[in-house]
Amino acid sequence: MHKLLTIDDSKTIRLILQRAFKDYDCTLIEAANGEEGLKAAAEHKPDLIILDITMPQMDGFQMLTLLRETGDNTSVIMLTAEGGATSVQKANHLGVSDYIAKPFQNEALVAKVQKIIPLARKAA
Amino acid sequence: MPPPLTEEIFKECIEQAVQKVFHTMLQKNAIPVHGSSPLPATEPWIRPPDLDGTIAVGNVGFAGDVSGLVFIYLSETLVHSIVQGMLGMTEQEVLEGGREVSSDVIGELTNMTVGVFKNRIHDLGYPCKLTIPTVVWGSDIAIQPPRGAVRRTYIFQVDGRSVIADLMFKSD
Repeated sequence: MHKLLTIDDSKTIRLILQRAFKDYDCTLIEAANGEEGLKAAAEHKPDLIILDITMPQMDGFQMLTLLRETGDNTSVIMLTAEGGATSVQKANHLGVSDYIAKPFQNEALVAKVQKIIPLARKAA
Repeated sequence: MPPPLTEEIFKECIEQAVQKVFHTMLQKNAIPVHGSSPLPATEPWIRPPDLDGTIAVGNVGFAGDVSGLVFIYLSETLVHSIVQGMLGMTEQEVLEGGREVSSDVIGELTNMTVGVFKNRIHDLGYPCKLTIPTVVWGSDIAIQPPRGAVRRTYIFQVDGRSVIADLMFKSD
């Protein structure tokens, strides 16, 4: 079963992602900031990380920079309200696989995840 | 040299932001109230009657080459409808979740709205970054603009209820 790690300080986004992926064959691991995200990435070795940028304590870019420094090249999709050109360029520089600016539709997010990992629907 | 930020740009950016967020996340239309919106920046605005009771006010700022604050005012009734829509909850579940759940949803809704607004301004040549959202609740909330900030207030209707977007913008 695939493991997705969502790192977002918004409980709302984490709940929306739970709904978005509940019918798919995957486990969703949650973290509320960059620090928690680094620990969760090391512990659970996710197949994909869905990462916010603006978070307290440690933001998404700081977290991703530290993650890459450990040699971890897990695929990352940015899911953020920070959609300016500068942020997109910075994300590309850090090897992000895709970038979704909020607001978003669940179907679009699932489709982007499926481009990276072969996520199938759960058997009925 | 980026183009000057005109009233038309502000109006277009905030209208697009509110409409996009409500449509994408809730499949609801946010209809700008033309004729009375934006309200004159120099006068305190009069609260629409449906915002007389308990309201939630979400706030997200942006800082950089331009800086400002955006406040989104919503009635408690509309907040409950938004929480149901965004999280797929029943009304009873929203009530059981209490202010903590509702505040988080309104914080995120505000974050998305200000994000769309700010990204347009950013891409016009005014780079800036978002702040963390905050939400306050109350029945008699009055927010004054910081010194030197220009206020622009826009009114929308969602499901027949008022949504106010109150921009306080400072340009150096």
